[in-house]
Amino acid sequence: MVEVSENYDTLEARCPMLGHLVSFRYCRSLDRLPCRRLMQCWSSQIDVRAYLEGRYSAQEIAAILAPPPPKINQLLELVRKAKGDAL
Amino acid sequence: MIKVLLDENEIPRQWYNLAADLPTAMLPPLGPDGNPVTPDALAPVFPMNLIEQEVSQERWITIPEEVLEILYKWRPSPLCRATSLEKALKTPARIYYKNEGVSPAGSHKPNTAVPQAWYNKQFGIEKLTTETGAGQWGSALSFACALLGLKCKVYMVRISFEQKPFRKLMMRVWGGECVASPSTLTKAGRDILAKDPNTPGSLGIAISEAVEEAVTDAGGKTRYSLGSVLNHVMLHQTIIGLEAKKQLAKIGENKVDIVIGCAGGGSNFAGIAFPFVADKINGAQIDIIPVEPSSCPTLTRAPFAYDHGDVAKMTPLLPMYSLGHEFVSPPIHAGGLRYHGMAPLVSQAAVEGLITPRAVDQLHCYESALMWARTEGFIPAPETSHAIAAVVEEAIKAREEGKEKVILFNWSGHGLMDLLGYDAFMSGKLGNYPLPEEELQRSIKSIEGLPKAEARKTGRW
Repeated sequence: MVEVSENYDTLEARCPMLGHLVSFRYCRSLDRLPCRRLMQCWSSQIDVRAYLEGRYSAQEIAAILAPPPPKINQLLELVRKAKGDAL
Repeated sequence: MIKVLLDENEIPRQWYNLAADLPTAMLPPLGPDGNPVTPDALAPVFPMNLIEQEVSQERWITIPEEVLEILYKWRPSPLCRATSLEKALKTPARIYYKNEGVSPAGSHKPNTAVPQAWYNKQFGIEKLTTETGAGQWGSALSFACALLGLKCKVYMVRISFEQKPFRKLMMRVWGGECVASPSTLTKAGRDILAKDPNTPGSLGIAISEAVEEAVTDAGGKTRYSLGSVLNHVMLHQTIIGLEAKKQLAKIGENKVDIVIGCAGGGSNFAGIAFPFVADKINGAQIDIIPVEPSSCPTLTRAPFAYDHGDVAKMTPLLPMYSLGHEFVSPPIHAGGLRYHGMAPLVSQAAVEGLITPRAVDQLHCYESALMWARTEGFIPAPETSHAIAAVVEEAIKAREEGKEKVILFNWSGHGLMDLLGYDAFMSGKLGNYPLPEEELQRSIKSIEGLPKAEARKTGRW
């Protein structure tokens, strides 16, 4: 287990969604917030909860840890968004 | 006898739709207003002929001849008997598997990529879009579009685009246009690039780009394609189980005791299992087992409920087995098995008791996959290893009981693009991550206030 104070951006793990190795830096900087799978993919190597609690609010952590919606729900939301953007 | 082959003229000519035979009707997906989602809502992304299949209650749907002519390139797929594994396990069970790794793309995915491309073409669509990570679905769809003369645009997550050249090359060989996402081709991509020109991208962005391109095509000639979860995808995959029934009958195996498939989005499992679920509905005694990771026990430990698709609770509701929207699964090396909710058809079959879900540990999966590779030779995909782990368990059980059971499972694809996962296992870098009971209870609490789906069942199973 790597301590929170250490720099672990160069550590690598296999991303199950993409299907190949990615660095921790990719997962922590995926979007405005880290990847929602940060805890499940990295807990065996680093203390993810300590990492998150040291950098994000409780509300942000809840948003980070939320799983993705089902595909059909994602699609309908994206259709709504794309149509709205096109107007 | 190692392989059972069917001639092309023996291939099933209709897909089987379980929705027609489920003893209780499917609960429809609900929108935020509580009303069922209509077919028109999906029309911007799918052609109406596929949407009709999505909502169809017809038991049998004819496979178009032109689709069959393409499927013949690798179908009927072989039904094989795993005699070497049987010997290694000293089991009296007879283990059969459908080898779906023989398709051009190396998995079961072309079984739906081809008909989806064909129906789109019939509807007048000229281009399909999709998203991909390492490229398994993107390559399957590129292959299908190439053979049907459609354009194919695949938004491949930039980091994958740069790190995984081979599936990208496969797509290009098949004529697919593989674009690194985010791109400047869509508003979604441009918005992201404006904030960070060097972003490595994500699947969420890639999906947004693929859907946006389909929805905003002023000519209406572009649609989006999805390789899992939805009813019409599972329908197309039932050719696997329908072929298996013919092949087993051909060698006099008239009674199957156990049918096994790994269960992520559901189409892999549905493909091998749904034709046998029909037999069970009609009185056959069969154990039908969807296998899921113990780290993400969607079917084995979660309650059946209407669950919101997102934390903001704005997206439509879908009846499904759910761990709640606060659930986070531990790491495993099987990307296809990480869906938050199971496909509705599979969920309803589980509610009825027609299928008996099982969870297996990651290390057991890899141990079983190695045993398989070292006896049967083929290296399975990580998802496929879940089914193999359950097969090994059942074969050992048959040995202990002294019963000559017939076990059938779906060998859904090869793992030649997933060897780093094997490396991690063989290097001792992987562990088991069963979901702790307290984590499960915490997740379940998140859906306590939501409307519960009625767990309708006949009680026959």
